[in-house]
Amino acid sequence: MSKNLVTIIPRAKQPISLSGFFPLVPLDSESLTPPPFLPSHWMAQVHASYADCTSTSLVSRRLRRFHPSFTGFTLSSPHVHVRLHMHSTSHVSTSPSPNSSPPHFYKSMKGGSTLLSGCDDSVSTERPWKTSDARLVLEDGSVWMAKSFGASGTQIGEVVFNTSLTGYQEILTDPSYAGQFVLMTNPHIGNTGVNLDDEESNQCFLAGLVIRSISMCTSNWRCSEALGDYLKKQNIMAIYDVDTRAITRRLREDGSLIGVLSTDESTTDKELIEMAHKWKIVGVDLISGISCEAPYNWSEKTDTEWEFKTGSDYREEFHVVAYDFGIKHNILRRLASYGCKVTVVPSKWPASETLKLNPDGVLFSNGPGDPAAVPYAVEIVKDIIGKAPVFGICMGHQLLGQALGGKTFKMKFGHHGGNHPVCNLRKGCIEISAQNHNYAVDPASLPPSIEMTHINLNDNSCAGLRCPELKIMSLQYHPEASPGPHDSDLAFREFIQLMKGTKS
Amino acid sequence: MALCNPKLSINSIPSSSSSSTSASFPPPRHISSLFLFRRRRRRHPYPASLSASKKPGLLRLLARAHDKDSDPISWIPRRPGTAGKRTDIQKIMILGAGPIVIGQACEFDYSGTQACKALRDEGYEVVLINSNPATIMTDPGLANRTYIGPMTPELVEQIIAEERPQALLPTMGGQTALNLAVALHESGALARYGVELIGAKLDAIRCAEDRDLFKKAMASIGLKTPPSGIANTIEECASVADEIGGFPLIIRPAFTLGGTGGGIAYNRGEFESICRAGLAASLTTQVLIEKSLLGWKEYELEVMRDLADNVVIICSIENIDPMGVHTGDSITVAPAQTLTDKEYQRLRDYSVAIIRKIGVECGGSNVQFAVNPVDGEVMVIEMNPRVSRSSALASKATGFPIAKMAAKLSVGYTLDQIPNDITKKTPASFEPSIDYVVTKIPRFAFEKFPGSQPILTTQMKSVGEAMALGRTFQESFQKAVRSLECGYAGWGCAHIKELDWDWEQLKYSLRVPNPDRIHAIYAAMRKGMKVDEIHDLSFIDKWFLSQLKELVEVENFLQTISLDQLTKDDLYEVKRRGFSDKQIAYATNSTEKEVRTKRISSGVIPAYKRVDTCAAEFEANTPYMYSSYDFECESAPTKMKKVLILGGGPNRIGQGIEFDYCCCHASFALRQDGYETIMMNSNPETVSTDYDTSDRLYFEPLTIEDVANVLEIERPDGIIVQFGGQTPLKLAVPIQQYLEEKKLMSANGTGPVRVWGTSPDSIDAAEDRERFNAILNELQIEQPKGGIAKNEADALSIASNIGYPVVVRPSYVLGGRAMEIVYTDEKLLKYLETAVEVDPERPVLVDKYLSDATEIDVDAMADSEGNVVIGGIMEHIEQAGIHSGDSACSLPTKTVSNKCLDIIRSWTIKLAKRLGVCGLMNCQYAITASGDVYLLEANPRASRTVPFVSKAIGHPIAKYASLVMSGKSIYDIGFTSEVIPKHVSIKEAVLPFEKFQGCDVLLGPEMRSTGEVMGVDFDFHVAFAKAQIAAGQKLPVDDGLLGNKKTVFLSLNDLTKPHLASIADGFLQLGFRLVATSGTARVLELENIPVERVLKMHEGRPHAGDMLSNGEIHIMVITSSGDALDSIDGRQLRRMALACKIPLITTVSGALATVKALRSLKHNSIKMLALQDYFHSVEEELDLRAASSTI
Repeated sequence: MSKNLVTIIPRAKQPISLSGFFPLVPLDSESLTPPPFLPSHWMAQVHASYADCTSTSLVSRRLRRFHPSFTGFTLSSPHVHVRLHMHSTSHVSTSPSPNSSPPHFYKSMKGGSTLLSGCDDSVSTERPWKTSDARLVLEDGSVWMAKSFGASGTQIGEVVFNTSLTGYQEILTDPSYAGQFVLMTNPHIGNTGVNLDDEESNQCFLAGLVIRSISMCTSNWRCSEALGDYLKKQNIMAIYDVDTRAITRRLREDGSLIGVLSTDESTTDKELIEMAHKWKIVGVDLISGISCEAPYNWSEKTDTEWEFKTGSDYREEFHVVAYDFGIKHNILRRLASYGCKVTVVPSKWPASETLKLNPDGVLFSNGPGDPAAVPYAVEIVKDIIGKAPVFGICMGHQLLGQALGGKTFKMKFGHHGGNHPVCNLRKGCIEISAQNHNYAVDPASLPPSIEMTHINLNDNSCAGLRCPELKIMSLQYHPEASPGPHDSDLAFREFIQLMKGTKS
Repeated sequence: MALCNPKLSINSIPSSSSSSTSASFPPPRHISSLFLFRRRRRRHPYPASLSASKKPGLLRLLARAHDKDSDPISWIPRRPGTAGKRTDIQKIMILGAGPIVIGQACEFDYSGTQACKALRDEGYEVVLINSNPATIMTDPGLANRTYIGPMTPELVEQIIAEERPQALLPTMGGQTALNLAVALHESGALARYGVELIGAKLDAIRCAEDRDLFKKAMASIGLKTPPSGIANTIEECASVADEIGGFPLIIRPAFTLGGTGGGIAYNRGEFESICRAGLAASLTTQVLIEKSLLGWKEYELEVMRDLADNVVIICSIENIDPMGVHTGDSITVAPAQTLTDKEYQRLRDYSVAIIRKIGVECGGSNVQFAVNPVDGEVMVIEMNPRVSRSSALASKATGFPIAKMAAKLSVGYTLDQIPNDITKKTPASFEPSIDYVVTKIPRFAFEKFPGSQPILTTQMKSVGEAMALGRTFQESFQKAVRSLECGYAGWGCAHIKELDWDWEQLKYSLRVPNPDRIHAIYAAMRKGMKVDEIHDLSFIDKWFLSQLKELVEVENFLQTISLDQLTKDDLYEVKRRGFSDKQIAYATNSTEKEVRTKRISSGVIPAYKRVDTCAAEFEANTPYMYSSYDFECESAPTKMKKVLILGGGPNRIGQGIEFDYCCCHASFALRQDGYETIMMNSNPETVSTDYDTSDRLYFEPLTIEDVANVLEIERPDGIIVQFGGQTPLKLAVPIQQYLEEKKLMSANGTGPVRVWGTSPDSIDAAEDRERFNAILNELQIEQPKGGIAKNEADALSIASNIGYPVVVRPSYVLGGRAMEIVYTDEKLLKYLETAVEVDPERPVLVDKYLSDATEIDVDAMADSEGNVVIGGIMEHIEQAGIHSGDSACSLPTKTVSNKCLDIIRSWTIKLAKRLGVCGLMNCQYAITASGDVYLLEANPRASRTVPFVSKAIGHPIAKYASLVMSGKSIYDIGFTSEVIPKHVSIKEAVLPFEKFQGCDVLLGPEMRSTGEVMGVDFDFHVAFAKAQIAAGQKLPVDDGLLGNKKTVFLSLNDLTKPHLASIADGFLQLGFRLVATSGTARVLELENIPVERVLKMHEGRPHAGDMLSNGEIHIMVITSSGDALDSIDGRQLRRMALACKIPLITTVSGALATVKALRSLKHNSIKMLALQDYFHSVEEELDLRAASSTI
């Protein structure tokens, strides 16, 4: 096992190689016990050692919270949180956490962590800002001083930027970001806090958050918690007061970079850079670590308040089996809104088992990392195509591309944002789309029977495929939006029609 | 293969120049898919031409994959519009927005200019009509045919008949153009000449503008609008109010701009008066009465749609001032800050649904929403089916040129066929992402309209706006406050008047929206009011208040520390929050210079970031920059020979589009001459802040700190300060001091950085009264007697020396601010008590007022060798004493003797030489009835009349002047003698009185006009009539109905009674019935002129006001006596005339000119001629084209 790999004390049957994309617990005595809000059996403890560092020592104790379905029994819905309805920004709440109202400021404590205090505190002569207490070190050797909020510790990951102006909470909870530091180009993050409705999965999978400015107060009628508090609970490291635009420009020029984020002052910059150099994300299977462990059913539709489906009600029920490679809840909600009964299955769920369920359609979800690193998933896809209508989204699209004989490649800096124009070649119209991927399918490597249905107009990369013969359709981007525009929602209708055509 | 690499992508190949879309960007869609198929075919061993039977399986599969019939999903055929540029039209007419008025400012010059350029680029012939001469769009080189003149449906039809355009683009000229297009349709003119409306179809305009249709349309797509009702009469208004139940109610007239005639009513009485005003203001006598959503959050989305039905959102804007304040009067922030993705996407979905439902088939629109802060309920407020003020803001905020795109879309392009101008490599079909925060703050002019209440409602009252970009809200907000030039160096850190207020005053100011509310917030926070309480009073979102609260905390911290104790990190932290050096100096009890020195020596200097529409995702070389105190500077200045042009900042009365015109021209001319031009300005409405006007653009406040920062990084050869009006001129001396101290060398190493043109010292000599007097004495130039009063006693003694009436004004002002004519000692004392403070630091000027004198305006140009050439001599129609900006004027002069003109010429030349003017100079003279000439004022800078003169004489003098400043002589340029055109050009001012309830409408020495129009003809009187019509005067030309005579109302004060007979006689000969008040009537009766007496308003009824409201009066001539009675009685009558839209003339000369204009209108019909036609000779034409903006 290489030096910076971690050993997992397995609950899963086979050891999984992980590379430090899970939330961290600060290295102090308290962290040895799990946070009180999690049942201890949901956790596996992970050790890591860095031989290259001053001595072989325990750098951090890693905590992993699994998907709720990991408890082993099938939940009717994994949507376990209690929905809270806040009717005012100023009058809250039943929330157990220090909440959004009245607005909070982040107050500095010398060298300490961020504390929350009411915004109407009496005048203080102390510096009304926090001093730098964190570093972001990139593999190109640059060191960025920053201020931390959220968890502290040392974390490693791939830095990607996201140009979405809204939707940081959806991005935080999107499992596709596992193993990545997300840098938001929009300078103000945290303005609307977090709420219980906008989660895309039940936890944060990303390695960390890099932003220009953390909101000192929250303002939104649905807000139930400040972002800093939330990240702390989720054990996600986050930094602010960094020149995010400068880093974005580097990423644009040099491609995605590996970075190390640390609040640990004892580690030298050089050591952190070495850590970054040793870490690899290409070829790593990130999916099996975040996929659910057992199948479960999903029936929750898009909340009526946020429903954007136009047209008639879909009464007809289709049974869709959705492979969870890190699935976003909104995919499930959209399918349910279109009248689908959804069974979510783990990433390694055998194709034969899936076909036994006799589904009307199979969905391959989005997910993190390199599609080439999960050959087992490609095999599953291969076994299923032709036998049931198939819809691939993002990772699912890439897996389909591979299963059809095509190749995927790593893009320079990928697509991460909510404003990418995609041309729907069949309709001749443009959809503004939400995108989040670092890998793409090379259309030239595909057999000619595969029709390219969508292209990304920014760089003409392949954004959608279909093969009517095999009842396949796939999109590289996110028709389920969340965050992002709803222009591509029709893809779900097309999937329904694909299933309808097969069924009749 | 890396498809993602833009360099390899097929779309990136064309378009090395941005000029034309037609080149092939991107290739039509079928080509791009062909390309993909071809690739695959090439890989395949079998050529596609093989017969079907020989096709191997896979290929057959492909063939079937494209068989549309077998497709389970129906194939939606491509709409005809997607084919690209239309070839069935060649000539397009663009309607401009007319004069600058409140609610419709330079932003339509910006949009019109972009549209002209875009359509000319595409090879279309462009016919333009606009009455506003101060616009860039009316530059004769920009359109093929330019008509400057009145924009009435009849006259525009005449132009259509002459020019026969195939299409009309009505969405670039604001509400004026839209209403005009509707009128042209209704009169059948469009159908008669087969003109197609492009951009927005009539149904769409109607559906969006008609309040009732709009409401129904929204209901049909399931969107909520506030509970409301439509009324066409005052009775209906009352019943709608009963239906909704409960006040406050909002009244919104249909088809008006900037909410004119609308307002918020809190009680019955107010309700009735606003409804009356609203019904009168509406084109269709229709008002919408709706439940007030006071306190709801307000959002705007800028939407674009193309003919293929692709829709994108360009920008979301959040108003800091919640519902109840017109969005033009609100402080706004982009992007929206307090919406989650779900909420934002919902608004996006709604906007897309609305633009489709309303049927705006292509171009930009603006949709406004109200969101309940308590539960997120969304209501649609309104939609503008055209490029709007917000679009201009969104364009400048994101870098996405909405107007240009809208013009291209209107001729058939789809969004993906147009490259994004900024990145060049990606298409325009995307939604800009921004990585900074934009704040816009409006600027007001309530102080110019005594009697009006400085309260903000749904009717727009701001006259301009400043925008600032920063990496955070705090930074952009502070920069925007100091860009406003209202005497604040930023928000807070100053002793402002609100700090002395008591709680009641502060709470009132927080509760009632007003221009200074942000300062009341500051004072309240300083005094310890909590964010929650401020929110409860003002409904301003707590997110913004908390941000401001932190600024107060920073200030508190700064006050506890001395400048020396501030570390480098501290300075960074403070500067990142947008504090100016001046603010830091105030808080740390030091000087601005000390702060700057300390800051620079610590290495805390600004980093310039670029605006690139994509948050740095793609490479972009747009030279559009703003400062921040972040890590990386992207400015990348060149070593070329270059010049920095300082713009005029936010529009205000007295300093507006005219100065922007000059700045743009300087940039165009010097760019053509091989200089790299750098523009610095903070006004989002202007052409100068377009990213392609200059080589580089710094969107920055115009303060010495920000200018010095730019100078340090750019180090240009020259700085131009005399084109942006008073704003940059005031910076001339500080800049000079800074340059002398720093000994800054220019970037290309040829010499020091210099202020170009007239030296700052000469500027100071002209502005400093005492220095100036000495010069005039030396040159033996006469000026009205007067003196400088440093206290009240001084003033009284000067006045008694020179004799009343006197003109009093503070020194160093623009636009005649607080200038008054005073007739008695008491009035003088009252003036000194109430209007201005007088102390040795700020003396007051007291000058003899020349009664009944003719005023002359001269624009002249001088080169560095001392050659002077007169640009134009204009004669004012109104007598001296009326501010030159408010009076009509004529070029060439009409009544001035050659002797006087010669004196004026020689004095102007003498003075320019003595002052060492290099560039432009403006002088004002008065000629008394006896023929004596006096110099009133001289300004060594471009004046408000430069664009008018340029268009009248056919020579772009601002361009010439900029070349002169770069070192050329007038001989190099070839403009060596005064041009006296054969045709007559008249400029008329447009006044905003109707927006300011309660203020008097009389003209005076203080400038109040917001804009101007121009009338051109070979005959003076027709030109005057054209100007009057263009200014919106409904001159009673025809006889009344059924042969009834038209009626003129006369009421002249004693000073003007000598002219009464000639005025009355003139109207009588035109067949008018005369009506007059007692005093006036008596004089007329003595002259044996038939007149009917009417009572003044205080004399009993029926009185003049009754006649007015009964529609029995068609034109009014009133000169004010200025006494107490007149200021109540007369004012009321004048306000009524305004409300009833009856032409009102308040000066004798205006009345005489109007009589003559009416006479010539009676005998001749107006003929419209293009500006190009007035300059016949080929040579002149060439001059005009070479000199106008580069295309």
